[in-house]
Amino acid sequence: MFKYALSILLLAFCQLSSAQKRSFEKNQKNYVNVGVETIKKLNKTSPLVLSEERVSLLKTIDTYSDPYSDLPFKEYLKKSEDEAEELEHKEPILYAYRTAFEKVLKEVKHTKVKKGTASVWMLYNMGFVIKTPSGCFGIDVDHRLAEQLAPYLDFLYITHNHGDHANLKLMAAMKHLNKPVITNFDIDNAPYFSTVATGYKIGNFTLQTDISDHLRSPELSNFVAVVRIDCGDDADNFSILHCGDSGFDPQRFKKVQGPVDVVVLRWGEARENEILGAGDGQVQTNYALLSHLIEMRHKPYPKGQASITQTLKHLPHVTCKNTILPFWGEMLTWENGELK
Amino acid sequence: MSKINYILLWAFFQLFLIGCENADDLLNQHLKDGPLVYAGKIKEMDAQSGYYRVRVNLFPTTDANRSHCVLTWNTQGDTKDSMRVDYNETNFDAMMGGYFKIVEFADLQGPLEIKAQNVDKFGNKSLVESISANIYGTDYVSALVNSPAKVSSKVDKVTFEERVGAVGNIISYEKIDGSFTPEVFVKDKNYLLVDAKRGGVVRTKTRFLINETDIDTLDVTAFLETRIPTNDGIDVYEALLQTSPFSLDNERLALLRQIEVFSDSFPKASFGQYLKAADEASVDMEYTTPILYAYGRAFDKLMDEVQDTEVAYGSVAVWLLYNMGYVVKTPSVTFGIDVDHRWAEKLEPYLDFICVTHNHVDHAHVKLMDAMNKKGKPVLSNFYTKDAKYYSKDAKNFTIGNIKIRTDITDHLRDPALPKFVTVFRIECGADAGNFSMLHCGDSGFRPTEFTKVEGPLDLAVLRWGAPRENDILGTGSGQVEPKYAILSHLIELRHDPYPNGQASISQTLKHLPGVKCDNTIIPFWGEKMVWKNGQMQ
Repeated sequence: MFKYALSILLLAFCQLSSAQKRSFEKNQKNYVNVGVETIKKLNKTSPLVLSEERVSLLKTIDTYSDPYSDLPFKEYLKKSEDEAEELEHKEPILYAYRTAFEKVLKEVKHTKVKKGTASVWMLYNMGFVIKTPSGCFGIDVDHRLAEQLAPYLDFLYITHNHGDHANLKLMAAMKHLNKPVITNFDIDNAPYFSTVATGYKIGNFTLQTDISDHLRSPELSNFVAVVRIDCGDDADNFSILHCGDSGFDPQRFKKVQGPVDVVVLRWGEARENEILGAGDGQVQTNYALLSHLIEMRHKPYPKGQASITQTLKHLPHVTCKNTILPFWGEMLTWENGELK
Repeated sequence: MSKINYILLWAFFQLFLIGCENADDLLNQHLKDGPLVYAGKIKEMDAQSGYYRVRVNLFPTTDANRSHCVLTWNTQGDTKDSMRVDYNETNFDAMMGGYFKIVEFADLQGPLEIKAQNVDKFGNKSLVESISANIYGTDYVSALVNSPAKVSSKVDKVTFEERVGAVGNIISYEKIDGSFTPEVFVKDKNYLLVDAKRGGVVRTKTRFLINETDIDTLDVTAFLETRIPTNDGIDVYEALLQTSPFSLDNERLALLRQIEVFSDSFPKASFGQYLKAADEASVDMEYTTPILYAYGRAFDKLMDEVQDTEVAYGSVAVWLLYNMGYVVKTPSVTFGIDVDHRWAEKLEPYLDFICVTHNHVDHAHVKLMDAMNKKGKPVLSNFYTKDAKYYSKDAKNFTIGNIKIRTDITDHLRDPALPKFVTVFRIECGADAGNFSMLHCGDSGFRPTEFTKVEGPLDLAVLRWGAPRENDILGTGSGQVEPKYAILSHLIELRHDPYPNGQASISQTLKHLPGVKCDNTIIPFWGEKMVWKNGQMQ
């Protein structure tokens, strides 16, 4: 009797889970898309283990992105919901882009973060979502569907006013919900606007910014606000430094220097090491995340994009014990002083 | 010892001879073409960025013989290009106090090292100086982000969010006729719209001056399209105002039903939020929410008309504001009954007194009552004790100016829990109003036994929504009235859930209408005016 009851319960649970699957995933079976298998296999690998299989899958994804970068991607972003979704079903790289969002949205909604831990999701480009037991925030979150995250974020931080970091619809949605959007460029948005190094406190989260140039361009000498966020006791004081598209000049990192649990670098090129260390304007960390991968508004490497292949070449030279290359949609968990 | 000294001396002497010879050779080598001369160098130079161009500024040292400067840079790989900058008046910027040249680059963008070397009249060259310049191009511009643009709910202006580095916006918007206005550059935060098409599009592009020293502004590549808000309620309500409550034709019926659809889709919680919101936010909601457009516009219309309408001797103007709220204007007096609205207290200056049938929020507006009381104007009720003179829980008569008022006390919708809760008001407006008389029943139970003090013939009865029991007070018996006209009201009161869960729906009221025992039964809508003249309502 008990076995029967258990079977029925299991069946009901499966039905319920399947019913909760969002319609995009359900409709995918009506399409043929080589990206599906690649992403499925990638999702079975771990960003913490750079196995041959993972490297091979990432390089495959790199090839998916080349034909869709720059103009086709910008055209796709302008399409209606139906047209965009049709492309996401058919085009491998756009499938990866869409499913990453679906995964992050679902997990952000449903993940119960244990006390003393933090969950970190890489969404796209340099966009991250971090969830602790007491709150959830995004940094440089950009995606075609980004505004759907607004109800689940307590605040949003944006390092600088470029379209691959600042998503207008998400910003508007957050403001509509009276949630903080912290920037160095949205003049009307006091008290969450500052063009100088500033500290903020939102719930259990403590933010400290410093002002940096943009990729060492003298024309953009104060364009990027890097941010260090300390997540509070209930997340075991997990801390993260997000460097945006900064020039990685230690002189511009003095307000955020010191030990930090995780640093989000760009794509790991040599000059990014200049902020890693124990000196003035440097940070000490055991975990560095490389990002800005195949941002598709840019032309393929070497004409603008940080390609996966090139980032993999940079990785071994990053002067950090654990340098990780998470891909879109992947989640990492901070627990007991380690990223898992 | 002296022998050693001799040898050393001899050795030094030999070395001296050799050295002198080499020094001669070296010197001759340098002097064979004459002395080496450098032209005066560039003391200082800098570059100002532009879009596919750069302005190079040169500040040479003083050199009477200087001729020109040669700028060189790498185009691709090792391929070089160069440009000559003559030191003449044409290339001299007096304000800056130096020479300049704008160098155009058709294909180059991004960082570029530019070297500069002076040349004098004799062809002597200076030491090479170099600077790093940055050329803006499509790659850079493609990362720029437009400032969000917000269209006001009244569709009369666009407000741009301010962004660091932005110097203005280019804007074009869709007009009612479907055409787009020419693109204009706007520096201000706000831009006025004229005849903008609701549901149409505003196109904007932000212009940036990344650094103050840049020689070009940069426009974001693509336009941002912002939808102009629509409000279906505008056309429907304005069309309804063109119809008459005295003619229940198909057009009016269709419009009333459409209004009911708007109301049904507007939750009462949202109405509550609208009532509590700040004034500006409430006005925004009126322009963006169909049913609230009707609600807000009805008030504006009534306010304007109450002030502007000159009521002829012998006639009366009657407006329905909302729910069971009426404003009545005679040649000498203006009064309100059960006036309730988000903006009701603004009516105070134009009212001489108000009657409030009972203490329910959709009939009794506290702010209006207090505003009237503060000005010493009568507030007649059975609960507002602040106005002791006009407060009575029993049937009573009042006279205010030419107006005579009789009341009676009834239950609330035959609820045994609310006996003696509602005051019904019979108002005789006096000779200058053609002796117009009206009865307002509030939410009474329409029991004739409770209408004996107000019984008799009259011109106008304000019923509720025409439910069958409301006929109980219509007739010539005791406690009955005989109106020439009956008005059905309490339509779609938005604090209630849609029919059948509280509201008197328009559809249901229309169903009741034929059953009301009064030949002239009308359903006015919010904001509509009726005029009593020569014994008729029109």
